[in-house]
Amino acid sequence: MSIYRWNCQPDQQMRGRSDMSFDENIQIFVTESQELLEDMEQALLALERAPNDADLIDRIFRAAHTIKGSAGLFGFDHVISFTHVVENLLDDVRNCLLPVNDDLISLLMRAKDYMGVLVGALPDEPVGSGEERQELMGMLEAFQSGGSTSVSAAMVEVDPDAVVCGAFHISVRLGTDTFRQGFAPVLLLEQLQDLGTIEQAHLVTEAIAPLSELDAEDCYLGWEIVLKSSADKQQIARVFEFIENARVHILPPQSKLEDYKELINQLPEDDAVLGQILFDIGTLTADELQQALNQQQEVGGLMGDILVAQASVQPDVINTALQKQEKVREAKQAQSNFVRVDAGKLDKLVNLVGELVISGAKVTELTGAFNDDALEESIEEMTVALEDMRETALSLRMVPMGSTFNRFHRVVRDTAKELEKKISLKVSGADTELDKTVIDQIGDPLMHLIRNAMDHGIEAPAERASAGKPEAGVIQLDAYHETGSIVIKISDDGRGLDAERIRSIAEQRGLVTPDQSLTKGETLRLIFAPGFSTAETVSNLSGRGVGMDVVRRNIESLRGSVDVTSEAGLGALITIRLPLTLAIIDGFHVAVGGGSFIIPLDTMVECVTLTPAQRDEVEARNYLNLRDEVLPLIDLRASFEINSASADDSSRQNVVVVQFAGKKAGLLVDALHGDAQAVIKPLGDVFQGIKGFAGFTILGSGQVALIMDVPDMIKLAVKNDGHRYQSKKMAETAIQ
Amino acid sequence: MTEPTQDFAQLTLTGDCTIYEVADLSLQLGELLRQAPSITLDLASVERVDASFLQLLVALHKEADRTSTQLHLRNPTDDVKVLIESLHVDLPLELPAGSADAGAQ
Repeated sequence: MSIYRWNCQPDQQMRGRSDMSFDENIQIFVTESQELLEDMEQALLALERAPNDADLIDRIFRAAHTIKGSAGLFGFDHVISFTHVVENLLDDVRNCLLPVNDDLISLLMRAKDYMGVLVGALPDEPVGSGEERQELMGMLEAFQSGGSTSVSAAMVEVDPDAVVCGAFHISVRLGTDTFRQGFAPVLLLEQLQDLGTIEQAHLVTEAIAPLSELDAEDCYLGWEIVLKSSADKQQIARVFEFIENARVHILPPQSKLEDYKELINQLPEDDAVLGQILFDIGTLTADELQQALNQQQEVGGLMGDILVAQASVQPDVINTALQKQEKVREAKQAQSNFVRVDAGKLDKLVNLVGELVISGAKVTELTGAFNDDALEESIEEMTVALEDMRETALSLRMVPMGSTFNRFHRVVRDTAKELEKKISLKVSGADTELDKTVIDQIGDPLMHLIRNAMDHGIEAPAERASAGKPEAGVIQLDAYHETGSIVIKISDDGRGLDAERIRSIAEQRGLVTPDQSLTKGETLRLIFAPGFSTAETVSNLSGRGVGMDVVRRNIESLRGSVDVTSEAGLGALITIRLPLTLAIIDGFHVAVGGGSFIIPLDTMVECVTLTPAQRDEVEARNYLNLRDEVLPLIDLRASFEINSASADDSSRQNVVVVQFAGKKAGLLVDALHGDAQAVIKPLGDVFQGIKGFAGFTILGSGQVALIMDVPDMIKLAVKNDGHRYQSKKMAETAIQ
Repeated sequence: MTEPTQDFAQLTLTGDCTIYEVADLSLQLGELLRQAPSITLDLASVERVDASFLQLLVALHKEADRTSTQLHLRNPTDDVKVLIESLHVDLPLELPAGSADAGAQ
C-alpha cells in the first residue's frame, strides 16, 4: 500500500489550513523509514561482497542517521535510543576503527530487522520485544568497544590496497575568476567546516603568479584538504558548485592508493611537491607516498613532459569528481521526479481510460454512417490520442521486477546459512516491467520456488564436490518479454528432478495409475499436482505438499502458466509465463454463428481463408495441413454448441492460427471482422472455472463479445488431438 | 612610508588591504623588494583584509625567496591572523614581542 503525499488537498485549501494530521505524518515517516531500511539491507548485502566500499558504508550510516533524526521530530525515544547505538557503531566503521566482517554484517542485519519492528509498530512500542532489544543493544555496544582498541589492528583486516586515511581528501583549485564572481574563499572553507572538521589543509601556492605579473582580481588559490565528515561526496562537491572553472577532486575515506596516484597525476603541480603536501597533511603515509611517486617516476620523462605541457597550456577542466557528482545528482533528481500515487486512484484512472476506449469505438462505428470525411478524420485523430492515452495509462501500472527480485537476495543469503549450503543468486532482467497487480502476486510463488530449489535442488557442499560441481550452487532468475507475455525462469544447477521417483510417489498417492503412460514432461509436471511431495522430511521451508500446487494455482489465477524441465544431476528449470497486460488488449474480432469473439492479437499468427477442398478436409477431421504442418483445429461452433439458423456454405470458412508457448492451434470461425481494442471485463463469479475465456468486452456496436483465452484453447486442442491419437491407436491395436 | 637604507627597508601598510588596493600595493611591494636584502612589512595598522591581499602576501613571499631577500611580516592584526589561519596559508609571521605562539600555520 502506498500513500499519497501532497502539500495541500483542495478541500483543505478551502478551509484555509493545509497541515496534515499527526497520524498522516507518522505514516509518511514509517513508509520512508521502511524504504531507508530496505536500502540499508541492500547495501549490507552488497557490503558482504565488497567490504571496503566506503560509499556503501556511508549509505548504511546515513540511513540510520536519517531515521534517527526523523524519529527525533516525533519524539519516538525508543527508536532514537536504539538507532543511536547502531549509528555509533556505524560511525566507527566509517572512520576505519572497526573492520567490516561477516559478524558485523550479520549483527547489523539483525539490528536493521529490529529497527523495522520498531518502525512498524509506531506510534506504539512493539509488544514483547524487550529481550531482543536488550540483547541487540548489548551486542552492538560490545562490538563497538571490542573493535576500537587499536586502529592498526583494525587496519590489518582492511583492504591492503586502501589508504589508511579515514577522512575525505579534497583537492581544489579555484578558477581565475573566482573573485570576479564574487566568491570569498574564506566562506568556501567555512562551508566545508560546516560539513565536518578540516583536520589539515595546505594552501597550494604554485599557481600564484609572480609578483610583477600578479593580477589583483585573478584568483590563483588552491588547497589540499583533509576533511573528516559525515556528509557525502555530493554535499562536499556542492560547496564549489557554482565557481566557474574550479577543479575539485574528492577522494572519500579509505580510497585506494591508485586513486591518489591518479590524483597526483591529474593535478597540475609537480608530483614530488604534491606528494610532499599529501604527506605533510597526513593524507598519505611515508610508505604510501613512496609507492605513489615511484610509479610516476617509472613512467619518467614522458609524464614530466605531459605535466609541463599541461601546466603551460590552459588545461582542460578535468572535473572528474564533479562530473561524476553531477551524474549522480542527476540520477538522484530523476529519482525525486517520482510521485507517490495511491494504487486505488491509478486503478480508477485505468478503468476510466478503458471506458473511454469503449466509447471511442462506439463513436467510430456510428460516424461510419455519416460518410463525412472531416468527421471521420477528427475521429481518427481522437482514436490515435486515445491509443496514446491507453498506452500511457497502462504503463503507469507497470513496475520493474527489480524491486521484487531484490527481496530474494536476503532470503537466499539467510536460507543458505540455515541449510549450511553455499548458494548464490544471479538475477537478470531486473528492469523487465510487469503490471503492478501481477508483481504483487507473483512475489510469493517465486519465493517458494526459490526456496524449493535451495532446499531440494542444490546439494550440500560435500555432495556437490564429490559430483565434480563447484561448491557454491547457483540459482539463476531471469525475466524477459516474449510476444505479449512475460517469461520468468528459475533455474538451478542442483541435483535435478528424479522422474522415476516422482512417478512412483504419484502412484502411491493415487495421482496416476501404474499403466498410465506419461511423457517425461508430464511426469515432472506431477509435482504441481495437489497433495504431492517428495521430501522425506517435511522441512519448515517446503515439502508439505501444499507448496507447488498453490504456486501453480496462484500463477494460473494471473492467467499464466508454469512448467518444469530437468536433467537428473544437472539441475532444474521452472518457466513461468504471464500475460503482459490485464486491462486492455488489442484483439481480433471474429464471428461464429451469431456470436462474436475476440482473439488477443498477440497470440495470432495468421488467418487462413479455406479453399473448398480444405473445407472438405476439415469437415472430415479435426486438423489442417497448413504448408505441411499439422495444425490441430478447434471448431468453435461445435465446441461452444452454437446453434445458428443458417448453417450455409459461408460458414466455417476461416481458420485463425494462434500460438502460445511454442504450440499452435487453429480456431475455426465463420467470419473475420478485423482489429478491435477490447477492454477486458472480468466474467462474473457465475462463470468462474470455465475454460476458454479470459473475460468479455463490449464492442462498438454494443454487442457483447467473449474474449478468448488462447492458452486454454490450445491446451484443449492439443489434448483432444492426443486423445484422438490415443483412441485411434487403441482402435488400430484392437483391429489387429 | 619607505625608508630606503642599504641593509633593510620597511613599509607600513595602513587602511584597507583588499582586492581594490592590491594592484597598487603590488607595485609598492615590488618596489620595496628591490631596495634591500631584508625587508619588513608592518601590518599593525591594516584595516580590512581579504583573500586577494593574502594572495599578494604569498606572491611577495615567493618573490622574496626567489630573490633571496629576507621578508618579515610584522605585527599582524587579529584580522590578518584569522585570515591566514582560515585559508591555511604557510606564511611566517612575526608577532609583537612577548606573544606566546609562533604564528605560522
